[in-house]
This record gives sequence, structure tokens and C-alpha cells, in this order.
Amino acid sequence: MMEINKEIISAFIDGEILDENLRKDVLSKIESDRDFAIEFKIHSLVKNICREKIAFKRTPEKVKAKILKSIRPKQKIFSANSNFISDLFEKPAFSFATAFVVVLSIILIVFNRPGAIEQKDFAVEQLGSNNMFVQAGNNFQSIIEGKLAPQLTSKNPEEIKEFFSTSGVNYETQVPSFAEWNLLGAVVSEDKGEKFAHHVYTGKSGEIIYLFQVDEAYLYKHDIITLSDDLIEYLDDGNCYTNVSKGKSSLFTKVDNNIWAVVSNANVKDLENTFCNIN
Amino acid sequence: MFSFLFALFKSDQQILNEEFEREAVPHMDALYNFALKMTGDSDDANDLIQDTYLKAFRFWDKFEKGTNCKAWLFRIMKNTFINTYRKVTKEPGKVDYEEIENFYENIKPSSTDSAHLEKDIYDNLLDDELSSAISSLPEDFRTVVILCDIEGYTYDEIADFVDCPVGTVRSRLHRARKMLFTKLHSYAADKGYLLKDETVK
Repeated sequence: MMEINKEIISAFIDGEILDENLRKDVLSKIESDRDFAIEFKIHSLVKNICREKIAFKRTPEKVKAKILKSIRPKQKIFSANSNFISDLFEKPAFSFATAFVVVLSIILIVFNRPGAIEQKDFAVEQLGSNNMFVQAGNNFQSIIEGKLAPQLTSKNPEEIKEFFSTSGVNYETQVPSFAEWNLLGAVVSEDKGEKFAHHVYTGKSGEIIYLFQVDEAYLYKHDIITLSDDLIEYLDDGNCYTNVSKGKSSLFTKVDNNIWAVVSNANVKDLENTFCNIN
Repeated sequence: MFSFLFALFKSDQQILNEEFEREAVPHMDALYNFALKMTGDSDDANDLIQDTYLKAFRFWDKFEKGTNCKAWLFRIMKNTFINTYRKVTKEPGKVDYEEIENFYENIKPSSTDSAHLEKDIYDNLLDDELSSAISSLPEDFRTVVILCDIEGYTYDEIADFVDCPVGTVRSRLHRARKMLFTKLHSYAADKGYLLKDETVK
């Protein structure tokens, strides 16, 4: 029997010894030598613990979406081939025309560019029944018209969070308390088997503040619920978006991993002061 | 004419992008798990995987088609980790092998009670505790444990990933598991999973 180094036990456990004779020698050594037997047990134990206890984790949807988004713009015409512009100008038939078009485009872009502080009107991009902006607006309207009543009536934020959790909402929710508005209750909605959290506050002057929160990962999947990529990016950058239309104010913000849609008949400045600084 | 040129160019880009998405993107979860274990922190893992994929995409033309894309991505991630995240975390760049050897000698099998080797004792250990124990291993040792015992790669693949001989992989793995065992043993003792008289042996 050849001299066997203990390191070969690792290879034995991992099925990395291809020589049948060597494998038999290692096995025999493990059976006859206590040190080798213990060594074998230690390595087997550690390998089994690692294999069984470490959960395989999927890349968070948000991260995956960011990576794909970062990659995909590079397929746009100019960035992927740095020679494109110079090649184009080198072609005599196009050189003047191209230069003219480029200069004209730059002039048009500069003169038509919105002011740096101007907020983009994201509302026009929000379309379809799966859209969070659309759904939040419709839900608020149903509440105002008395068509949508809370499934749970409570002023206790912890009770509402518990209700979300026990009703099958699969993401962390936040239910803050405010001095000027009281919690009224909560609703859990269901779409394609997924549960979503909604809750409502009331103000002293009859204001209704409806809050719909969704884990951002759902929005990246573009499956059950959507929001335009531009708006998600705007919120991801820490911004708050507000829109006032037909007597109601809609406010979007990001809190932890959730996107919040707040729709209310309360004063928009009060909403901004409250929800845009919640982090 | 312009639209014709644009169409030709777009087509090349689409092919490049489709190739990358087909070859590289499916390995994202495996790389994310590696990143999690290497950094020991989900935020750092998120940054590391993003940096890795952006670099991979930038140098996609350098990837030799038909070779092991996953190994190529792992190498990019490992280098990114070494160049960026290790500096940030101030982890020593060099492993003191002598110290490791001494440590290794301190856990000779003859001093190990076989009662401590029953798997039941370690059943109550949490994923976080195990992850933390793995994260505390020196980088070279941590890498081989993750790749072999968690990701299930062969020694040849690991040698390819970490760019060292198969013998070195085997040697590192052997030591890494013993180090990991002492850490898990220590966790189990702290949690009271071992009988008191057993812990002092």
C-alpha cells in the first residue's frame, strides 16, 4: 500500500480519486486508522453541513433588472461601436449631410430641453389596468364612493402589519402613524395569487389618504403590476413624484424596498411634507 | 441610406447582446451566491455582481467562444473582489500560511472527540451562522469551500476558476474544512449544543 497523505481524504469524499486501487487503499486506511477515521468524519460532516444548510439564493430581481438595464443601453447605436461616428464622417457622400444633421439636432435638443429642475410628467406614461398608478387612482375613487371598505378596521399600525402578514402579503410592509391623520383600516388585494397591501388614513377635515405599497421586485418583473421604468428609476434615485389631477393628489415614493403610491384629497404640500421625507 | 446603415449596425449589436444574454446571464444566480459568501454582505454582493457583469459585458469580445463562460465570469468576479471589495473591507491581501499551518496543527484529529462529529449537534446552526463562519475564513480557503461544498464544482473546475493546480485546490480544501469545523464546533459550544464536559476536551 502506498503512503497516503491525509489531504487525499478530501479528494476521496469529493469523488475526485479516479484510481480504483488508490480509492480502496484510502478506504482501508480510514477503517484501520483512528486519525484517518476522525479526519474522514470531520470532512464529511463539514461538507454535508455546507450542502444542506446553505440556502441557494436567487439574484434579487431589482439587481438583475439593473444589470440588464445597464447592459441593454449599450446596444444603442452610438455606444457600442466607438468608430461609428468617425466612420460616418469619413464617407465623403455623407460627410456634409451628416455634419449638418448632427449640428441641427444639437441645436434642437439644446433649445427644446426642459429646465433642469422641471419634473417630468410621469403620469402620461402610466397605462393599462396592471399599472400601479392607474390602480391606486381607481382604488382611491372606489374608497371615496364607498365601494371599497376596509377588510380590517384598526388604528393600530402593528395590528395592520400583522393583518398584511397573516393575509399572505409576501413582503415587509410599513404602516407609519401620523399626528394629523388617523389610521382607519386596511385591505389586502389579490392578483394572480399574489397579495398586496393597502391601508387608509382619515384626517380631521374629512381627508382620505390611501396608501398602496408594493415590493419593488414586483415592478421589475413587469408581470402582475407595472410602473414605467422612468418613474421607477426616478424613485430609485431618492426622488418623490407628485401629480395633481381632478381634485386628487397622487404621490409616489420609495421606502426601503417598497414603492408607495399615496392618493388623497388632502393638500398636496401636506402629503409631500409627510411622505417625501419618510425615510 | 442612413436607415440601412443603422439597421446593419443594430443587427451586430443585437447579436452581441443576445450572445451575452444567452451565455452569461444564466450564470447570474450562481455568481450571486458566490458574491454573497465572498463578501458576507448582501449590499456588497449586489454591487459585486453588478460590477462583474458590467465588466464582463465590456470585455465580451475577449471571451473565447466555446470555452467555459461560467469560469470566465468567476475569474472576473474574483478579480473584481480582490481589486475593489477586499481593499474596502481592509482584508489582508496576503494569507499568512504559517499561521494557518499552526492553526491547522492545533486541531489534530487525535484531540477531537468523535462525539462532536455527530451531525445532529450542528442541526440547530442557522444559515447565517454558517455563512458567517465561512466568511471568516481566509480568502483562498473560503473560495474553495464555496466552490466545492456549496456550488458543487469539481477540482478541475475550481483549479480553472482560481487559476492554481488541482493539488493546491485539494490542499486548501482540506485545511479549509478543518478550520470551518473548529468554527462550527465553537458556535455549537457557545449555543450549548455540546455537553459542558465535552467542550473542554
